[in-house]
Amino acid sequence: MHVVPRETQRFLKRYGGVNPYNQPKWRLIVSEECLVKEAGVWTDWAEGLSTKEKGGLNFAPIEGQPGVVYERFRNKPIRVVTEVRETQKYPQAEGWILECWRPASSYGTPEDWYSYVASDGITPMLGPYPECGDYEMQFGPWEKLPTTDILQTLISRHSSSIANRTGTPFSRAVEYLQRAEYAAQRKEEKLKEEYAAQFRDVLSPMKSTSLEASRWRQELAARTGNENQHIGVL
Amino acid sequence: MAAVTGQAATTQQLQLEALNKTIKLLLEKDDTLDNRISERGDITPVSLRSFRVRFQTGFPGNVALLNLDGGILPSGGFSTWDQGTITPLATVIPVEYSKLTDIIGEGGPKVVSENPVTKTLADVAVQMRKNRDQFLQQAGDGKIGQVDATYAGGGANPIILTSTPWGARLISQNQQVQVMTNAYVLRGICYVTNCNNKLGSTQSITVDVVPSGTVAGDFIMVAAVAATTPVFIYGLPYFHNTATTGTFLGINRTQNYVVANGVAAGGAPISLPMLRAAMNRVKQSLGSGAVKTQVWHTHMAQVQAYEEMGFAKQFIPLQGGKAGSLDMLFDGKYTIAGREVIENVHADTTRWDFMEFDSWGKVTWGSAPFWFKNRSGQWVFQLYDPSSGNPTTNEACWYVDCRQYYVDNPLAISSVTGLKLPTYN
Repeated sequence: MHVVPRETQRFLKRYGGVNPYNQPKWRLIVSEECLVKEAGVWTDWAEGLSTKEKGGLNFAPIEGQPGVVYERFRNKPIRVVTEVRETQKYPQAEGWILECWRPASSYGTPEDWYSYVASDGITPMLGPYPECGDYEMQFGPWEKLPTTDILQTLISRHSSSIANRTGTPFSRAVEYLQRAEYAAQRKEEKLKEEYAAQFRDVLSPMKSTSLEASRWRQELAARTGNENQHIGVL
Repeated sequence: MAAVTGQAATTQQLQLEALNKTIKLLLEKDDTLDNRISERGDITPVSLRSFRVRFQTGFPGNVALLNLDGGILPSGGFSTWDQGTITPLATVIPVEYSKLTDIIGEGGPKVVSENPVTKTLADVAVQMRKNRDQFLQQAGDGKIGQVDATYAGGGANPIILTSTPWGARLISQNQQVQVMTNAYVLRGICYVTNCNNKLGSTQSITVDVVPSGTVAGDFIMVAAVAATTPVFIYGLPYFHNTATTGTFLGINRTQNYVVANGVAAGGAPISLPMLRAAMNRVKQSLGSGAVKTQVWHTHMAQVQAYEEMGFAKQFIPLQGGKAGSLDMLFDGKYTIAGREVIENVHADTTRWDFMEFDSWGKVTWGSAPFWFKNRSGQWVFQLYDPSSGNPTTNEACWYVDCRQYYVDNPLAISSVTGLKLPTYN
């Protein structure tokens, strides 16, 4: 269990503020130690199996047959059980993360929350409803505990990005989408220029400085009886 | 004796079913969805014999009590097998230009700023990449748009398209398309002369001639896709699919191992529980270790809807230590809880897909994409006047791609579908 230094904890509470329950609004935690309760129908597989070996398709060639024939992996689950488990909240992240507290309203109503059921169609799969809100990963992960300077920058950036929003949701969305379209357009133009340059290179070996074009010119020279001469760019 | 033309179909005896040789695509550099799948590396080129997928769906399971004192032996059982097939599909972009265009283009900087022929040929590679990304958004039937309920019919031009799931964003100007009824009956073929796919505006296409009978609800289809039971490149909605009817690579979707995980939003806006539930379904099917590498794929309108919930953007700094800045909005990688989000302008505006690229693969013919060549290596062909048989001053060439996609474990992927399209889109 990793412990956040007392000074850093005090900084987070002082700089980031507290929630209505007098708890710090920002929390540093090691991702692997952030666990949540989840209910559901769990399928357990043998250790060491890859994702596709867990009931997926085997795309390996079969000996003695021409080409490649594919079949389903025959691995079976060890067991299938309905229960509540503590699991990692962020299995995709490894290291220190900075979480931000969210009020219960961020998770919808309890009715909404419990409407997400497991594959048996009965068991609510998200675990207990976060009545006092919950923390969500906002920044990270980091291999080492971030310094208070970094934390200050990130919290400041996050707060100002929300507090300094301008216009309406509509105008923000329009701006966002326009920027996305513009970026896509720029990317396409850049690619076209690159491809055109490549194409010119291929089509004009006499004028290209590429190694391949040089080889081609040399081969041409050899065929015309001038193999001892280097043919540069024409 | 009648002449026999050598065709691929008549030489199947000489063909192997598939070769597990890896062919790298050198031209794909961008981080689009198509390229992310291509990055997985392994491409399996196959011959005309289909790429077979066989599944054992059961073992001899019949067991019963037996009365050895005069009882009747039960009927026999046996292992049951399913077999699916994947066949690469070829798509082509034709290019045609006149001799005069070519001559002017060769004139150099004093005549033209750039050789239009060279430029067009280079653009084709970009267009093919874009096409593949667009095709990955459709459900494997070639449908790339639908005529909106507000369309008046009677040959009205432009044709208004539904704003969801793609509007006119999967259609390009100058593209040939088919119009079919919603039961895949062909109404006609037309060319798109103008395409209004600007986000937030009415989605529409202007065509050269509106096929007779075109009405609201009709489908806009990729050219040359068969009517009645169209089969095209399998895209996201084909694999990220929770349906228990239809087939998955030839396997009946009643088999639960070919049904992907997913959450139906029922028209509600995106929310945290939805994203968490979509991920949890994978976790519960395959374990925590199987949800480490997935990424989210969605349209930027949905990302913006997520942002309005009060979650600040997160970015992974670019390689080389370049720090984040406001200008990084579309240069950095956007993440949610440390998980990358791929924003795609072609994506369905009503869904988020939880993608596992390690599970995606593709089969292809040859080293596609390629310029169509004959045995002598010629790839620019003279065009002939059909009435006189004389050559014309026009030349043509064709850029060909052949591929089909597959997912080797549908339980590793998930999605949130049927989301509300934000009102500002």
